[in-house]
Amino acid sequence: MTLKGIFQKLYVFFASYYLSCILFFFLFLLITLGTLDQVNLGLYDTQKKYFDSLYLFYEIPIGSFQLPILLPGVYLVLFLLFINTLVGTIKHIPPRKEKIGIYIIHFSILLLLAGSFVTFKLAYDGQLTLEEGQSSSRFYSYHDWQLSIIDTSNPQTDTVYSFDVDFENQLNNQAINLKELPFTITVDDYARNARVLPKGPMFETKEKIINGFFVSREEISKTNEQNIPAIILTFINKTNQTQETQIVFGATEPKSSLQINVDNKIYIVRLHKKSWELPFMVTLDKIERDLYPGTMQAKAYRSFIRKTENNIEEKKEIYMNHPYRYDGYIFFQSGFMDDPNTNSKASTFAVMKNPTDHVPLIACLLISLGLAIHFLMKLIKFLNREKLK
Amino acid sequence: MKLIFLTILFFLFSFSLFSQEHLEEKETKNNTMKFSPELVRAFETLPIQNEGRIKPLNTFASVLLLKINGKRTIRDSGVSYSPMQWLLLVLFYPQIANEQKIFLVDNNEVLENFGYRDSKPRDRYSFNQLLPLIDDLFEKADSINRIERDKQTTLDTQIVALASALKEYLIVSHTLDGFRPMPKISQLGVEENLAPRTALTMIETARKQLGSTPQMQNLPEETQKTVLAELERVSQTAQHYLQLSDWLKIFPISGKDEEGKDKEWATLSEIALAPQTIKEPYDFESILQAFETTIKNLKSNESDVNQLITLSTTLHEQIDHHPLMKDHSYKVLLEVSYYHWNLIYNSLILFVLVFLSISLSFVKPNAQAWYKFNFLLLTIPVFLLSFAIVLRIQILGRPPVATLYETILFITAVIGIISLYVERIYGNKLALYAASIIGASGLFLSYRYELSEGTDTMGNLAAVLNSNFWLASHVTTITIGYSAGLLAAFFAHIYIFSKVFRTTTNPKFFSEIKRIIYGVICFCSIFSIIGTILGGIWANYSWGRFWGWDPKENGALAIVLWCLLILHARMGGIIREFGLVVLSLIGGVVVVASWWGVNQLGIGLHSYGFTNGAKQALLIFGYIEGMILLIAIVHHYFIEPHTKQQTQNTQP
Repeated sequence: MTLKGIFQKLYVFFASYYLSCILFFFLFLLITLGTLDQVNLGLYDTQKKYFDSLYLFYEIPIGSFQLPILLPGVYLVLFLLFINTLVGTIKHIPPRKEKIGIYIIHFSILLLLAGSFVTFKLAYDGQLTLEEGQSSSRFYSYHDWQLSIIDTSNPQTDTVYSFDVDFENQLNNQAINLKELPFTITVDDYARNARVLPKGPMFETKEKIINGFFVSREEISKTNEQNIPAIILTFINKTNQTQETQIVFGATEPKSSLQINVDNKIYIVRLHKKSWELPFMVTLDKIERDLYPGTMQAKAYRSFIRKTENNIEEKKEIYMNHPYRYDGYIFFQSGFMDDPNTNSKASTFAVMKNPTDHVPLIACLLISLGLAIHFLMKLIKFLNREKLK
Repeated sequence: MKLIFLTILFFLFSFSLFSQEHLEEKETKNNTMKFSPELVRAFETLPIQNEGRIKPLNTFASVLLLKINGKRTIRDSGVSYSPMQWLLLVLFYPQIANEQKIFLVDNNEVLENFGYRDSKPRDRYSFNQLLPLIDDLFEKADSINRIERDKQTTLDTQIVALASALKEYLIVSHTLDGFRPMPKISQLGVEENLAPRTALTMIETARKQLGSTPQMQNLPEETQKTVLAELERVSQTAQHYLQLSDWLKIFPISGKDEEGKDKEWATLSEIALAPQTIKEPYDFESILQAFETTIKNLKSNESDVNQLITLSTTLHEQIDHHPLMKDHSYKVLLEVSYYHWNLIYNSLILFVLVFLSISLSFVKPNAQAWYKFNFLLLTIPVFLLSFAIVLRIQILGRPPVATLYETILFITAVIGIISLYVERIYGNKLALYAASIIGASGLFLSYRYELSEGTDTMGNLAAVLNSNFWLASHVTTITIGYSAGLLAAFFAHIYIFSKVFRTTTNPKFFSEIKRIIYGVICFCSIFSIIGTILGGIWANYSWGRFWGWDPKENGALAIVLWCLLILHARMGGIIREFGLVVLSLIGGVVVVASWWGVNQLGIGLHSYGFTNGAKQALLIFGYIEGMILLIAIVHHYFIEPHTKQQTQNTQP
């Protein structure tokens, strides 16, 4: 078969209605299975398994046996749907005036898919919790963890080396070797949700005992934010090959830490939620919660914040359905805490950096326009035909 | 808060026995009361602040009676009572109300658990009948409430529901005990059936006098202490009696509190015990006097009407002119009318009538006058239902769809309107038939849902839903999509049943259904696509992400994908008439799963939609639809070709 012939076949294949229907069906199936499985897996793991994946194995229980069925992941299906929509639009929709609505719809769907892809690859989000009067320019990831090695030898400034920790794909004995550091690190073991406990004389454990402590593996919570990991690391001195094994326990904020001494230099090791620095400071001046009278049901939350950048202050309000957008960052009111014991109030903001923030809105407007044009034309045609009858 | 509640309950219950006994001594044994319409109207239009919103007393009565009794009217000794009439009885004549069989027990195991014998499988009981079980019942309900919700059995849920109904009834029936004479509660002479407020005044005077009189000073120190302690006890008891009315927030208070919240309305006990804290121009003495005089003079006969009317007039004079009521008075009246007109129930009856009339009209299929009559008849329930929705918009000041209950009303109304339009075009009775069946089913469902929830259907919205723009755009759009999907599925049923039961062999008939289904699916696609994306945009504004794979979002997307599958399969010639019908039928299941099914999972951010007990009904629905699908496929591929073959063979 010639190259042209192959392209021809590919063109026909990717433009086919059969492929569209198969892809719609698979999307439908995956979304249904993924939704049902959220009850067992929780949202985070379901998303990883069904929606962010190229393929997956769905297990059907047959008695005590689990029959694995290979299925494409939503990520792969959406990629194929993008090609199918693009090629199918070119092939099936003749460039005529009456088809303009259909063109707009399909173009908007492509825009939506492309926007989702960019969001998936480039956007990141986290949270920022502030008590009244508190300021911060750092927000923390919901799910992602980082291992940081901090070189404190320079009295002027600390040097921080950070590594993303991927618990899904973390391999044992994976080595971290940086030329700036006088040691290599191997990951001996890890637990996605754990507690670090002292080994007492009254009980036995199969886990490795390190300096009198061991990693107690806890059931993985369906709410992934509640999982606190622990890693067992071995630090190998590059000069004399001496080894030191330590447990590093996750902390949602970089407070707790481990210190190691290599070649008479102190290094701080932390396992913490990944965080990002904002190019400005955010201060929470005040938070208001409006309750329906006589009840504890919230009617509205409202945070009064101050953004400080280059010593210039700007006051803003964030409340439900009214986020604050600045410099590509978006701040949403996502939580409220009121501690009557300490009389302190705090707001949690969801913070997102998303280069395609407005793409869904544009796509929706375009789809609405396309649908309106197309179905109005159809309706007029239909009514005229009925009138003639 | 919980402690206070439990304390009040304990108090209420402790006193329920002897206060009933006491009242029975005073009042007559007559067990019915008749209230004039004028009197009922005066009380039902009284505004109260309840569950965070301003509502007429009638709505409170209506919701409470529905929760306890399973319906909004009761009939006792040949007299029927509306919710407000019943509430008047509970408030002013609790000894009569306690005898009324209003507590609906769906399952006699509930009572048998507590040693009650001779109960029917499903029956209603009076408060007095249930009184001996109440201690054990409350204790059991408390222990059940400590079990996780999904581990509770149906019996557990029924026990908790009965206990909850009894608790609410107890609270309401003791509301005015603060204005009734107290039973003997002291060794100090406060035993003359004094009203609590009088007792408090007397105690205050006694305290002052005791402090200064030489007789008191001459008493031993221990005796002085005992007397003062006893006075304190009587004083607290009197205050407790008055505080039994604390649920009834009846006097509007303007402004915001120090936290910026709307102020809570004042209660009778606040007026009696702490009038200095209320900075409103109420005539406190007149109000309290009106209650005391009314209750003192009640004779349980027709002469009471004048007393009660005087009381209601006093209350209206005080409340109606309050500045806060300027914006709310008409809403209160509208809400009273909404419940009075019973638009939803009347629409349900009319939908059933339309269905019967259309069914009968098949006897004489060509009678045009009958057809027109049916068409016009259908417009009435559709109009009434739409009017009910408009009334709700006016009362609540927000778009019509924000709760699961409201989606039922809205979807039913939209289906009615689309059906009228389709009928206007095709004129083949099918859309009339569809609208009448779906209309009746939808409104029956709304009734069952309201009953199962037992709450005010005009309740407050969660903070995130407090957005008229998004409620008006996203929620209404997506529910219009649901409506169209359900209607298309219904036409698919008509197609399949007509084929299987051979009601007609006219190809034009089936071709028309196909065209209707296709048109309605297109309609469904438009609204589902736009609604789903609008939902994503809303989520982007409120939760910071366009798509979060939340079950409700996924449900909406599933409908979109199914519609796109149908449209593309038809465009590509992959399916024809039968394929369209079958996929539309499955589309109906997808809509129901998205609308109700995902709520059963109990996960996700759209918590407003969680419901209990619908799981079984949904599974049965799924099985039935699966069977219909199977029958359709078997008929289409195996029976129909065979029948056609036979027909051809028999033709000469």
